[in-house]
Amino acid sequence: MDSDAGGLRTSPSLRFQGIAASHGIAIGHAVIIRAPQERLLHWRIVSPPERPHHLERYRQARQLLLDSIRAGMNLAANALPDAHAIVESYELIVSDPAIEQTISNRILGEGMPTEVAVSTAYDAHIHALANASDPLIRERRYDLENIRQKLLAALLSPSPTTGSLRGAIIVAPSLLASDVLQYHDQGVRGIVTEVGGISSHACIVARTLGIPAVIGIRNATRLLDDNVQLIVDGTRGLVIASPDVTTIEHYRAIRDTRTEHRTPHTGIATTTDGVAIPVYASVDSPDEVPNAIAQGAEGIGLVRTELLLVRLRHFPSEQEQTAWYRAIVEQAYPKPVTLRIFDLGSDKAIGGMPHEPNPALGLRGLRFLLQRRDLLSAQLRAILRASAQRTVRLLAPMVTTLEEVETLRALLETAKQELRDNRESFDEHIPLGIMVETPAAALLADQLAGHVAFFSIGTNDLTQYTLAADRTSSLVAYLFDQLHPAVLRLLQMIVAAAKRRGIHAELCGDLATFPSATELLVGLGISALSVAPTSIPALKEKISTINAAQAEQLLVQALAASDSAAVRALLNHQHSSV
Amino acid sequence: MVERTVVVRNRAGLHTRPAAMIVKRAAQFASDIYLESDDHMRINAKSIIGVMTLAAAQGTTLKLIVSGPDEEQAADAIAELFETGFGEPL
Repeated sequence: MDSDAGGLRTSPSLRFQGIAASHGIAIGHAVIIRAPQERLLHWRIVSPPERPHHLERYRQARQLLLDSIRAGMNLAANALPDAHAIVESYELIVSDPAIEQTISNRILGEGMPTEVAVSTAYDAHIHALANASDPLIRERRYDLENIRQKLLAALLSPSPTTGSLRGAIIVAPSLLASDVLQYHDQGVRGIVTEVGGISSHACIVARTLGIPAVIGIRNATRLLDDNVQLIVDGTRGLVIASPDVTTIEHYRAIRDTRTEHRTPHTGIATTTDGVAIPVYASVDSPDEVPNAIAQGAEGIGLVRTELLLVRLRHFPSEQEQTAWYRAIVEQAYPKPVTLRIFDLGSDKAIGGMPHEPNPALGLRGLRFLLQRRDLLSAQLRAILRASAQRTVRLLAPMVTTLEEVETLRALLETAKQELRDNRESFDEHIPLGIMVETPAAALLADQLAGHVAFFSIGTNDLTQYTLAADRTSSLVAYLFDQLHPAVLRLLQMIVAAAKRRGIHAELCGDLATFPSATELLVGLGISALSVAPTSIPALKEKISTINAAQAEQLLVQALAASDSAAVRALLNHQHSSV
Repeated sequence: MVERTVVVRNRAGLHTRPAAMIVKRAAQFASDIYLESDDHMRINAKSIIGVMTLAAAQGTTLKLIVSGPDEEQAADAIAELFETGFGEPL
């Protein structure tokens, strides 16, 4: 309950919805970092004798900024090797000889005042980066923008604001990773920014340090005042200003329980005997990605692209698809994203599809797309465009024969050629994997493994087809059991075939979220698991309690069981004896 | 003056980290070091913004142009970074 009713309010509380960028709750007083006012519109040419003084002012401001960046680098040196490299790149930008040359020419040659020279020189380079073909390089213009602001701030007020930041919430237009490191060192509890990407270096550092952060609150530095009390809910992307007593109590309680049961939120989950098992998130839309990452996902293991149709209520155009896939990939970057092509069937129908009495055994998944090559080719091109950053994998649902895979690959090559002809960038080596969710694919896994880059096992459909029990029928629900030894034996065949061919066999589906089944999956030697974002912390914690060698023994016993009840008895026994 | 042809071999191309490696290595030499793309865009290899602006993807061929007292050593050092893919997956 976080309603405002009945509280002892002294000033009205305000709520701002932003983007959840780093998980957790922070409560503290606001410290507003305002962008410097730029008085650059009217300026006079500086007379030649005064110009060296203007160059000297630039050099001093640059030195102040370099000192502060290096302080951030020292803070990162031991704990965060990645952050160290990030902060080092800021240092290289600030001391870039090409920028210095431009600024020096503008001051000494053209007589620009320091502020104008700095501002316009950075603008020119920001403009060049904004036109780069690589989206990641384009992103770096925000770093330059931020550095430009900092240089101007240093020129306008050379002594940085002092005073304690202990317990403060920083509210800023945007932040560099080095700022986050320094604020953390100074005891800052939370972060609110107006702009920035969830995958920005500053957010990555905030998540690594466990500082709650909400980004994307427009005009936050104008709407909020210094010293106002703030609650930062980095899990829901919410900022509350001047909260009432009830709200504060509510959030304190959440914060304190979270601290007690703190799960290892970063790093790949590893068994007690050192087997690392990445946990990915299965998502349906770009909005879910930030939370998935905040919950500790090592990547997005499954994007059900057909949900885009549900959301748009029409069949998405190639442009709509490209934008949507890119949004997912950019929010997850640098973590990998697996985009599954439309899994449509007459149960998840679009207009004009035939009505079938038994959709689960009908024209669905890859079967349907191979008959509608116009739709498939458009989707392949959209996915390829999103792959330019080389973090995308392509996944095909409902495969039963090798021929389907070969036809898909040929269409993928055609789509690549179309993009090449258009001079569009994409990943030439985008990995193509298949869902193994039919008994046919499971039984032929050793053949299929030679033709694809990875397997993703869909246990829900595999169970339905293996046990001939309709997932949607309540009458045979008693038969639908993902722990059935027949299902487990197929899983073992699939994983073993993948291992022999040296490809990954990952698993998505409800089986991955059953706490009692995790040990069996570890015993199988599964390469990775993909679950709903909310299930990630518990699954990672569970993996870290399991001994992989013992899990293999347990699997051997489970495979020898005659029915699901025997498997469950085994798992329960195992559970109680720990 | 020394001219060499170098190829971007690492999968991710010349993003921030490889760019930083080039700039830091280039700064250790007195020579002027330039990289030039197919479309004759020439940038100073000691400028990280320049190297990033090249935005060279995997497979891109670049001309490495070095001139100065230590040009041979500098060309070897920068070419080696490209050859080894900046220590990243190829």
